Amino acid sequence: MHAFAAIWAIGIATMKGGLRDRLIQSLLLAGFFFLFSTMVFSSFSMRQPMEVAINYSLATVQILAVLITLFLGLNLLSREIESRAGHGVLTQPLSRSAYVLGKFFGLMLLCCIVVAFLALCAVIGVLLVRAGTPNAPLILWENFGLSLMGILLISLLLGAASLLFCAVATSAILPFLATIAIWVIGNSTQTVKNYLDANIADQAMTPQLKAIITGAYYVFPNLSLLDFKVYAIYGLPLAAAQVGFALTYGLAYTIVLLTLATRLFQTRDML
Amino acid sequence: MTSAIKTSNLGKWYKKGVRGQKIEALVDLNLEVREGEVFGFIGGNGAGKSTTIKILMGLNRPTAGQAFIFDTRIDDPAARDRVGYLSEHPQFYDFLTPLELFRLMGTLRRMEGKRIHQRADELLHLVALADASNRRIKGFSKGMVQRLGIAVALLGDPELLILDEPMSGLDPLGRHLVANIIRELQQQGKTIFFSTHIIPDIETLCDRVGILVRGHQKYAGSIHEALYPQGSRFEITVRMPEQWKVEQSSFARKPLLWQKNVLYRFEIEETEIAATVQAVMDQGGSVATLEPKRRSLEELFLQLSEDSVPNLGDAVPTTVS
Repeated sequence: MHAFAAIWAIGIATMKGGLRDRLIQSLLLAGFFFLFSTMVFSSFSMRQPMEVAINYSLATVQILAVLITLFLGLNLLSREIESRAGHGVLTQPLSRSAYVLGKFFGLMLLCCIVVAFLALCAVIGVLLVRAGTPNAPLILWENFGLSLMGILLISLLLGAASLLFCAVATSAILPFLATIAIWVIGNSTQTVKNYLDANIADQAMTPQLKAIITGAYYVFPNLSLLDFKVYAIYGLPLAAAQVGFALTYGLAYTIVLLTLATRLFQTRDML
Repeated sequence: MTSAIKTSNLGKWYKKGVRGQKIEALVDLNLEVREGEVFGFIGGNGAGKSTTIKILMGLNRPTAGQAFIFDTRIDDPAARDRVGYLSEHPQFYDFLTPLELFRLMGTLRRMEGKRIHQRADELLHLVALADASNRRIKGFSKGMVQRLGIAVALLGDPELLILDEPMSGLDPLGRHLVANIIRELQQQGKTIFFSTHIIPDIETLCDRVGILVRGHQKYAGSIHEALYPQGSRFEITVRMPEQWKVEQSSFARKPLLWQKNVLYRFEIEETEIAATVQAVMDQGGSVATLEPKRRSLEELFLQLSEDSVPNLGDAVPTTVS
């Protein structure tokens, strides 16, 4: 019972730290202006202003959510260990697992607030575009919502990856760069897999190389699975099984990363 | 009696550089801090004081040996249930206010909300930070953060306080405040284990002392034994008649420390006290002062630091239990 109270208390403190961080406040403010400028950008397209508006809104939310996760992830453990600000908490009667999970809980709360705020701005921006567009196509709001859910899951997965790297790295910059690398790789794995599945790959690479790349595909996250933007933009039908699989995959991957982070942090010496 | 802290062959080494050179930060530390005592831990820079404290507080893992706090192994978080800790350079979440910080720390210590507020109020007054209770810590001076650290350490009314250089960064008023707090806690029966570079603090505040030199424990014992070692010598100051000549008396062979007019100061053995006093009176003199020849803790520390064997006889255990 105490572990839950400790996780909750650390989470709330982490969330407060994020909301009071000038950089994160600036990014949220930038998001506010970007999303309300949707009308301007959508007007560049004569034929598909609604599609452009939805695409632009969701892409802005995604980029800002990931940026905030990266900056917050940087502060989560590495900076705390470097500055010794976390020592006060770590020397209290609680396990290190509770500390790591508390940090993640705080990140989760902050991501939810950030995505909710940006989503509200995005919805208002899209509604304003629709109001100014004659014969606007129907917007599939459930797909729009699922896209936002996917963005939230991607942020949480990257936050967990950041915690994992922070648990082992001795400097703050390495986890930051490694998390960016995971984001880039995660967005490319599906393309690589499609290439491997095509016949052309058998001619272009040795079986050993193909096996290594296939192995890497299963180790690194496939963030494309959590990207439902195209379904929201074009109003395409989404199967429940596909959504269920993607959400399960994202959550499972996040849980695995968190488990590894807590295990590795157990033996970590503080500065 | 339960030990507040007990270590058994505690050691910590690191590997450094590409060749993995082994750096020994702490070697075979056998320490016992008894309940209710104030124990001072002295050592130069890099002697292993902070390493020991970080191991005790679960921040670092030992590479050898074991350590217990109130008989609970330190790798169990419950070992820190009854401990308050102040680090050498306390740092807190500077985006919080002191009251928010107390709420967080109190929750982690399983304290009830009402009790947290009550203690926060008391402690912020104690460390003269009541006016800053709702200000962000980010704007605090170094001394204010140090005082806040002391308040946080006392939040759970712990039975054992582990303080790493509690006087560092404090002005004379702050040091006086901390010394008073330590004395008050000692009167309440709390156990206090603190490290410091400031040796006079140890002499005035501690019951026992441990000395670390380059990771090795060189001394652990009572302050009294350290300052007044067994079999030590005494200094006697006597007032003799004007016509009295030292070289013609029975004192001729005793080491004369100084002489001023009719006052003479000699160094004598403890066993010679009675005979010397009798001789002074027989020769028409009187005893002005008689005091044990005192060694300063600083002298002992410097002597041990130079790797010379101190002349403390049986009072120099490498371990004390």
